[in-house]
Amino acid sequence: MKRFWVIGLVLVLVFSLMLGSVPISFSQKKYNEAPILAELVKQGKLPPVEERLPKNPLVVGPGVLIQKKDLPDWKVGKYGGTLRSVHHSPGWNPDFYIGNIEPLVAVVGEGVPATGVKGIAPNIIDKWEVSKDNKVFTFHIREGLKWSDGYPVTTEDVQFAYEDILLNDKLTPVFPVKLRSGYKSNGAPMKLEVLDKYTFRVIFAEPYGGFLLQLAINQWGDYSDFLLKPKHYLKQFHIKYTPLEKMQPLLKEMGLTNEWWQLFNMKNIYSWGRCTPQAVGFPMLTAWIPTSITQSTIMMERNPYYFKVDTAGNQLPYIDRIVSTQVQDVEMMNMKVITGEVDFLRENTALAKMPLYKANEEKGGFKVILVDHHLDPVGLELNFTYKDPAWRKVVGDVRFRKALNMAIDRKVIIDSVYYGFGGFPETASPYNPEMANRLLDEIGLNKRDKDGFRLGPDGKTFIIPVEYGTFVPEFPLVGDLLVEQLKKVGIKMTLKPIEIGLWGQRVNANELQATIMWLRDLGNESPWTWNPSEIISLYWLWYESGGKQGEEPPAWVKKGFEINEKIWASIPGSEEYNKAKREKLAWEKQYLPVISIVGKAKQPVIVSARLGNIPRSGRDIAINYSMEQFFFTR
Amino acid sequence: MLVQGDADEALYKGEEKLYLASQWQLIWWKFKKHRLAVAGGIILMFLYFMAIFCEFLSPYSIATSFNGYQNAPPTKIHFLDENGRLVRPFIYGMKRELDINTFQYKFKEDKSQKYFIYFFAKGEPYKFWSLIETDIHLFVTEGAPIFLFGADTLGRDLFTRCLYGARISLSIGLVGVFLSFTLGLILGGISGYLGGTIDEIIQRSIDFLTSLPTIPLWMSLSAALPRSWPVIKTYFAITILLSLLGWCGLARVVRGKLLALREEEFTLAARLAGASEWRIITRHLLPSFTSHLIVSITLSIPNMILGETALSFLGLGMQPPAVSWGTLLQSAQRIDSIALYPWYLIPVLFVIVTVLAFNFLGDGLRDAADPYAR
Amino acid sequence: MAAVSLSKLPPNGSHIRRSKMLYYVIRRILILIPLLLILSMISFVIIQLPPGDMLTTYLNRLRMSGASITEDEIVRLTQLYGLDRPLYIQYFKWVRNLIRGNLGLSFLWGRPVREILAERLPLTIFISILTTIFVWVVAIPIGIYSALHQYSSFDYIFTFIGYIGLSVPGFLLALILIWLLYSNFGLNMTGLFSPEFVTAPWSIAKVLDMFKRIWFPLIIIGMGGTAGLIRVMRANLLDELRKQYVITARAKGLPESRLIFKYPVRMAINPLISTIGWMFAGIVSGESLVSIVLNIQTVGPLLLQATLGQDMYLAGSITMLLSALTIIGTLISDILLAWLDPRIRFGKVEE
Repeated sequence: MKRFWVIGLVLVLVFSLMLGSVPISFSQKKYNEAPILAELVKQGKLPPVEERLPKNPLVVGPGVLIQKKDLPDWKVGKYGGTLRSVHHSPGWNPDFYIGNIEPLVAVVGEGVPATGVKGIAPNIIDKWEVSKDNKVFTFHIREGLKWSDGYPVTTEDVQFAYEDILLNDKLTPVFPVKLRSGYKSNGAPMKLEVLDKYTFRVIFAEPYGGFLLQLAINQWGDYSDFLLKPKHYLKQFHIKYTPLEKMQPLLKEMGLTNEWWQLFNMKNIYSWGRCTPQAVGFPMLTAWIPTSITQSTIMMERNPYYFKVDTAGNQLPYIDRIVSTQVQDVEMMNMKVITGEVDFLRENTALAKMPLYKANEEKGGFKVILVDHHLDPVGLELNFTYKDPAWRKVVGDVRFRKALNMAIDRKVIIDSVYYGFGGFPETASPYNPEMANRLLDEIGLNKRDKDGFRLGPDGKTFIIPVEYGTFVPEFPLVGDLLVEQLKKVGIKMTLKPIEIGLWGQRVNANELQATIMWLRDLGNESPWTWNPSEIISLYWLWYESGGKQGEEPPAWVKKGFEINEKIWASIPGSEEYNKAKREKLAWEKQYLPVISIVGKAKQPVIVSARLGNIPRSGRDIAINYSMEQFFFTR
Repeated sequence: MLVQGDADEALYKGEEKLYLASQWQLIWWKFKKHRLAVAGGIILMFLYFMAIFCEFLSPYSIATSFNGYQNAPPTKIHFLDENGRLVRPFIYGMKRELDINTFQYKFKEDKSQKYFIYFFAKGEPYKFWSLIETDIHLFVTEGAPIFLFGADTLGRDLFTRCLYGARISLSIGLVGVFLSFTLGLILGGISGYLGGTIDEIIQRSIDFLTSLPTIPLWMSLSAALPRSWPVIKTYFAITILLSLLGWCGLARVVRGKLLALREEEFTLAARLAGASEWRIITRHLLPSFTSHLIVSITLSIPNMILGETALSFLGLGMQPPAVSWGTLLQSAQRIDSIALYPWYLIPVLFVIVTVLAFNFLGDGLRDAADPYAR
Repeated sequence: MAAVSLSKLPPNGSHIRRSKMLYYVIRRILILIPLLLILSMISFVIIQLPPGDMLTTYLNRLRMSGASITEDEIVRLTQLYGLDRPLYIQYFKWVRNLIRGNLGLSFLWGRPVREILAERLPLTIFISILTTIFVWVVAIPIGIYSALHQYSSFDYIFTFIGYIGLSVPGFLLALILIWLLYSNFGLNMTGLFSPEFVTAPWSIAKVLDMFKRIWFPLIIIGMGGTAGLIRVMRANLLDELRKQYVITARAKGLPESRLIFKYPVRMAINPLISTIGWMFAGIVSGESLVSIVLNIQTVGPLLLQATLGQDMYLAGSITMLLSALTIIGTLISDILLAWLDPRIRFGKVEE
């Protein structure tokens, strides 16, 4: 009898052990990895792929990185290959920059970034919660996520980023606005609470639903610009963890004595610094990590600890290596495209070269796709707070702006400058110079000078002096056409190109009266579709300083600020958010704070004919964001 | 020389003519022999004529743009009508169509209507040299634009822009060289003639200025030019910039020559004869190397013109809306221009021809003025 | 003055000549130091002239791609490069570092200037010397031939071809040729190396590849120089040929070819040799504008980029280097000239 019980007990124990282990073996998915990594695993230089991936890797499939309508034939890819690109400025390849971006959470909508933001999706953070008042955010990092050198990612890294970097005066002399409550420059800074090894909480004093949008897309940044830094690596350069003497040899190399924070900052790589020489060896979470940066090339190779897999369990990215060569002349960059030396290029292509691209597609082995530009390429901005009272009177009158809106023949501009590929922005009105003339007469600008230009309220010829920075070659072309078109309604406009540095200075000093600039840069998903300092600097100053500086804005501008706050307070994609966005659009149409000239522009993107998982439509920058799912078909 | 018969008489007369001819006449006769130089001179006169009368010679102004004609090729001028008879030259309008496969805009002549070319007719009003208001152009069409050199990316006439551009580019050379020349002459002359400490100081300054690497100097000064300056101001600033590079060479040459000539016997003779310093300089020394100076000047002008195009390549120099050959070359410096719209390269031809002409002219002048050659 | 110099014939030529020479050289070398100091000041001012500084240029470049950096990064960079200090302090720090041999950190490249220059100098010098040899080898014979057959059709043709090189802006010509070569012959001249070798480390194969392709940049860069040299050579030789001694030698029955090469050609080449000194700076900087288009990684384009970006340390170091080379080169040229041409040794004529 006793023996029966013993055997039974043993059987039960064994059975339960088996049962206990069954779920584990059932949930143990079979992952695959790139052959070169598999080789390293065999040699014992790398742990097996199951240990390198987090417990819950992000699964990439159709519709995850790119919307299904833009990439209907998503496929599981093949490993291997080297992607070649070109860049112009040393240490800066904008395509690789975006290609490597890994935000904490990702945006979902019309591709990335999105005007119709439908919501937020997990990325490095796989679970999160927002309190009902949009003030408290609880984030959960993927369990088992590791840095590119194999170290685990935990909330220690978050705490380090917050306490030892953000709160350290020497390292962060100015607390960033994006981490302040409500995205206000005088908002209370965030507070951090660490709950456990993978969970942390960010607490704001005011509703800041837009914080999720910031984490996803603000200024095209990612985790390394927000709250996640490799503590195990950086602490050797931080005075709290490493005595100054240990840092002396490195400091001496830099020609410093005790400025440890300079050394730290040099070693602390942000998202835009990944192609610079100092980035080699810095632990990252991106798909590729820099292995060799020379004067003429940038080479990045796959990250063995990357946290994404495809639907078949293959660890991403498919492509082993991405390389970019420096080319000093932009025309030569395009020449290299034509000779087929470039596998991917989005910036520095030009609409005007479309016929050339098309003609050489076969010979060069590439394809050119026309996709939506992520910017509204050009708009006319008038500074409402410029000092001259006559100017203010005219420009502040919304009818003047409406008249200007009608005086612009956008079709000609689109045809001439944008090769016919562009559309009317939402705030545009049809071309109607007669009505514009009538409107201008109505508001009191009916007297003309001897050249036929209208006189302002001060009796002198009213002039719109446009000073534009030489950012973009299209600006002077648009400017020239605008001058001619506005002449027809009696408005005198002059054009002056000024150095970029000077342009920035004049904007900040409220000295810029009018300028031509791109709009709706969605990486700056600001409710204003433009930079407030360019248009309403004194009003913006008033707002930011809480009324202490600057000038009190008129009611319509204040309304704009209110809508601003509503957008940033709400969660992107929520009903609240969408409502606020609609309000914003209506406000823009009603008050025309800027005169948007061309919208819905197209951008040519060059892609090697051998690449798979390339979308055929959608936003241009979204293609960059999905680089980890590119693969070479042959 | 003894006269012996008619042949000898002719010879004597010819030689006498030669003997009695002034220095300048000698130079002129010698110059005429160098055919390339003469050709160069004629071409230059023609170019400067075009620059002076550009408003009249061109049918439009630099800002006139025609929608629907962006990047249009040069207009075909027809002399024969449908029946093959000779008529007043005419053109057709052009229609533009986008070929969706090649993404190229194709231009086709719209043969539905003829537009005749009228000469010395009324066209766009303009101000000749900003002084005289008139509206007569050399040739004009009404109804459809005529692009002798094609149109640019905004539909502006390249022929017009070339001519207006000539005004700036050709004069920049002259003004710049004039400045260099004056500076170089004065400083070199003082230095060479007076010698001593002043010579030392000026020489050191020249040495110093020539050791500054020209590229950073050039570029920074150009980049430092406030772009908000009106066109005229920028123009003069650029000429001064370009001439700054040239005067040192000229000063050295002047000084060297003066030093050498100072030692010559004829100077000694003049001095012994009681001539004043001033007279010696102007009547004896200067003329000896005037020819050399003329040659230096002539050969410096093309460098200024090329310098201006180089500045434009770097994005410095003249800025829109000003038009110079440099800014036109900027539009040419694109592979789509070279491959698809080759007429953008026409301003380059102008530059080449101008530079060649100046060089040949200079060579001819030098050969002609060289007193040692026969 | 004139009377004195005419009768000034040194009784004991070599002694005085040599000591005069020595005195002259020492004086020039001593002047070098204050000269370099002034040059450093001017270089500094020139590079800082355009409004803004390297940080604002960098910021705007980022801005053009839609990215931007955080405010704290801006503050940090400002501090690291001392951009918040007044200009004269920035200047002193720079000069002090220069004297210590610390060329500074390049803002654009994020690396020490010394590293960048060390990488670029060898290639630059190599290409420049090759180009110079090419130009001389082509131009001198043509110049001689032109002089000997003045006004012949060959003279005109060669002069014409040479002048084309002078008058076409090289950067435009480069682009046009690259396009024509590709669209008509499929030749890819987009860089100094074939696509396979661009990212590969240096190897024998890479060197051979470079030699196969280097003819293209050599011709384009050399074209301008060829024309000038042809003309100078021709003019010099013509001058010499008209001199008395040539007629004498001819009268004495010397065969024509020997006659030409024994003296006139050598005398004509003399001034060219003296220009070698002036070429030092040019060899180190290399041709800039055309190199940009041809994508040759030499010092010239580096300097251009640095100046435009107001990268103080990089631009400043290269400028100082070139200035120093120019001064040294001029000195050497003057010495060579004086040594080769006895006429110049006397008096103050220092041409």
